[in-house]
Amino acid sequence: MIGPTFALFIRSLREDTRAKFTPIGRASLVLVVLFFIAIQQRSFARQPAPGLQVFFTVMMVNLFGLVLGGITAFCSAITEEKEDDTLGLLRMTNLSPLAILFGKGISRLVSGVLLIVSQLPFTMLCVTLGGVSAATIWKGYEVLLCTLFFLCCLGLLTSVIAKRTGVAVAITVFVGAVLYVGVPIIYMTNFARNPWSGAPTQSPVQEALGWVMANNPLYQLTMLTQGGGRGFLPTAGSPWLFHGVAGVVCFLLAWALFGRFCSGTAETAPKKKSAKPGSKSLRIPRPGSRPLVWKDFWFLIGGRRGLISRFIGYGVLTFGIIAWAIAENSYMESKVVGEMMVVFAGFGLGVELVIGSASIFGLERKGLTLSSLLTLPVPLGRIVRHKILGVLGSFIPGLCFVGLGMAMTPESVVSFFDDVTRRDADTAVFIYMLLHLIAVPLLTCWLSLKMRRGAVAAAIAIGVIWNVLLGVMADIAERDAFVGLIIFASVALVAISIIFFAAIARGIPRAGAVE
Amino acid sequence: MSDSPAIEITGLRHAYKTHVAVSEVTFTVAQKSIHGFVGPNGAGKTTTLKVLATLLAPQTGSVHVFGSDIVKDRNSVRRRIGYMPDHFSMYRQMTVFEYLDFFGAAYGLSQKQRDQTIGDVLALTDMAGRKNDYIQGLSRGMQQRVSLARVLVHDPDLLLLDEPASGLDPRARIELMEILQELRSLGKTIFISSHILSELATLCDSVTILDRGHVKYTGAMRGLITATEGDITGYILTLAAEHAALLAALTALPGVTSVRQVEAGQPRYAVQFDKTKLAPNALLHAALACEAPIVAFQEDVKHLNDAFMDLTDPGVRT
Repeated sequence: MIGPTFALFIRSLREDTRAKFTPIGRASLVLVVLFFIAIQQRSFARQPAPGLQVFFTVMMVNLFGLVLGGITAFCSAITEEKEDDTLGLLRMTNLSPLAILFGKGISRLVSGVLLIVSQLPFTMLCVTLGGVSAATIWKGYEVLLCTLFFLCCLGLLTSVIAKRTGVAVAITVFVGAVLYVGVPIIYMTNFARNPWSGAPTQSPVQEALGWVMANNPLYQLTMLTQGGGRGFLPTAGSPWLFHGVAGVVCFLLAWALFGRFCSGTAETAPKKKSAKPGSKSLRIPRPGSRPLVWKDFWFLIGGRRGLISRFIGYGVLTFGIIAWAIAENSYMESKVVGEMMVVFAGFGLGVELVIGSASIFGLERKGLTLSSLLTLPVPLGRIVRHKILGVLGSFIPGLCFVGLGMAMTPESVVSFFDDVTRRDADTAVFIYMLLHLIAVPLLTCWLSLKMRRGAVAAAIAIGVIWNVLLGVMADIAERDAFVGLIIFASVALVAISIIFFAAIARGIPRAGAVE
Repeated sequence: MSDSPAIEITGLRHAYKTHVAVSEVTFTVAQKSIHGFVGPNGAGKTTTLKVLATLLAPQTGSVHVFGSDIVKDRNSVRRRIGYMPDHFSMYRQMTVFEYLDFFGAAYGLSQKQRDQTIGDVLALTDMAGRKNDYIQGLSRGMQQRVSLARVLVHDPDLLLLDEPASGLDPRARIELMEILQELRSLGKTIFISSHILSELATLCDSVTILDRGHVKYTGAMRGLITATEGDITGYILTLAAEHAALLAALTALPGVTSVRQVEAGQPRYAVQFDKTKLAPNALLHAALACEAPIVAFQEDVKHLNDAFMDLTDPGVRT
C-alpha cells in the first residue's frame, strides 16, 4: 500500500530536486529577503521599527507569490494529465486515486513549503533590525503555510473536477475571490454603515462573515504586524483551524470525486465531437491575404464569439459598478462609475495583455505547431507581426469600456494628465508605468517559450517583485534621488525589453526546431 | 525544373552543445525518386530532416534543395518542400477543411486554387468525406492523412516525411505507402525516414543508412539488398531434391567464384560468379543440362533488415 501510494510522490520530489528552477527559485527569494533587510538597515536611523517593515513586505511578497504560484501549480495537477491524455495510463498502473493525488498534488505542496521555509532563517534577521519578535515571524510563516495547504487542496479539488486547467483556475480564482475579497467587502460595507453595531448584536450571518474575514490571510498578516482587531474588526483567527479544516475537506472531496470525474481517458480527454456542417465552421469566413491574422483571431481569441463574451464580461462589470454606486449613494454618480470603469477595465486589459502574450507563441509550442509555421515561406518578422495583429482584436472590448469610462468623467481624465505633467516625478512615474506595457508582454512571451505552464504567473510574480524592490528603494531614497531612480528603472525596463525582444527572436526558431 | 538533384548534402555537421548529432553527412537524392532514410534511434535522422526543412541551419557543410542553398534561398526552398514532422503538428480545434485552407492561404494560394487543391488532396488521402470534422475528433490514422494532405496542399516538389507510418495500423500503413507511390507517379520526390524496413525496401529507389551521425550507406536500394560486390554477383538456385553432379558442373563453369549450400540438408545453393565472364542464363542452362530438378532460380537478395543490421553498430548511442 505504502509503496504505490508514495511512488509518484517520491518521483515528483526527485524531479523537483533535479530541476534547475528549484535552487534558483529558493535562492532568488532568499536574495529578495536579504535585499529588503540590507535596504532597511541602511535607513535604520530614519525609519521606525525597520524590522517590522521588512517583515511585512516579505510577507506580502510571499502571499502574492503563493497565491499566484499556488493557483498555477495546483490547478494543473490533474488536468495536465487529462489534457495530455495520460491520466488513463496512470490509472492502468497500480496507482490508486489517493496515490495520484499525493503524487501530483502533495509533492507540489512540499516544493512550495520548502520554498517558503528556506527564507525563514533569513527573515529571522528582521529581529535584529527591531520592531518584530521571533514569535511574530513564526506566526507569519504559519499563516503562509496554512494558506498554501488550503490552496493546494482547493486546487486539487478543482483540478479533479475540471477537464481543462483554465477551467480549474477559473473555479479556484472564483472561490478565492469570494472568500478573500467578496466576504471582506460585504463585511466592511455592512459595518461601515453602522460601526457601532457591536459584536453582541451580530446576526449569525454577520458572525459567519466575521469569522471568514478573521481567517483571511491578508487580514491575519496585517493584524499580526499592526495589532489585534479594533472596533468592528474581528480578532484574527487561528490559521490552522480555518485553512486546515477547509483544506482537509477539499482533499477528501477530491479523493471521493476522483472516480466520478477521472474515470477514464476517453471520458476525461477534452475532445470535441465532429463539427455539424452548417454550424460554427460555416460562420467562420475563409482566410484571406493574412491567414495568420485570421487563424489567431478566430481560433486563439475566439473570433466574434470571443469578442461578444468579452463585451458581456465588461458589461457585467460595469453593471456591477453601477449597482454598487447606487447601493452606496442611492444615486448613480457618473464620475465615480467612470473612474471605476477605467480602473477595472484597465485591469482587465492588463490581464488580457499578459494572457495574450503568453498564448501567442506558447500555445503553438504546446500544440507542437510552431515547426509547421516556421516552414512557411514567410519571414519570421511577418509571422510575429501577423500573429500580434490576430490577437489585437481581443483588446477592443476592454478599450471600448476604458474609453466609455473616460467619456463619463472627462474632468478626471484632464485632471489626471494635469497632475502627471505638472511634476517631473509624476511624469517619470507615468512613463515608467507605460513602459510596463512593452516589458511585461515581452517577458511573458519569452517565458512562454521556455516554460510549458505558468508563464503568466511567473511574469506577474517577476514584475511584482521588481516593483516591490523598486518601491522599497524609492521609499528610502532622498527626494532629489527619486526621479533619478525612476529614470534609471525606466532605462532598465527599456534595456530589458530589448534583451527580451532579441531573446524571443532567437527563441522562436529554436523552440520550433526542438519540437 | 533544373537537373540538379532534389537534395544535395555535403559535409553536413550539426551539434547540440557538446553532442554531435550528425557529422560529415554527404549524400544526394535524385529528382522524382523515393529515398529512404534509415537509422537506429538517435542516429541523427530527425536532425538531418530538420536541416532540410530549414528549421535548423547547418553548422558546417552545405545543403541544397533543387540547386538552391537552404540558408541563402530559404523562402524559395520552403515553397518547394513539404515537411511532415514525426509528431502531430495540428490545430486540433479546426476542422479538416479549415486547417488545409489556412495552410493553403499561408502558402499564398488564391481561394480558387485552394478549393481545387484541397479537393484533390482530400481525394488523394481519402479524407473528402471528413472535411467538416474537427481534427481532434479524428483517429490517429486519419490525423496522419490530414498531416499528409497539409504537406501536399501547396503542391511541393519535395516531401520530407519523418516517420509517417509510426503508430499506424497495418492497413493504414499499406494505404499510406500506396499514396506515396501515387505521389511518385505524379512527379514528386519523397524523402522518407522510417523504421519499417520491409516497406521501405519495396517502396524506395534509393536509401541512406545513418548510424551514430555518420552515413554508412547511400545509393540505390538494389545495391544494398543484392549480394553484388564489384563485378561479382550472386544467385540462388533451389532444387526439388539434392543433386550430386550439380555442384561440380557449376564450379567448372568459367567465372564462377563459389558454390555453396545455403543450409545443410536443404537443396538450395548460392552461386557467386563474375558477371563479365558468365551470364545468369548460361548458369541456368548449365544446371538444366545436368537435369537438376530446378524449382527456382533467383538473384540473391538480402532482406533490408539484414543489410541494416550488417551496417549499423549494436547498442545505443551514448
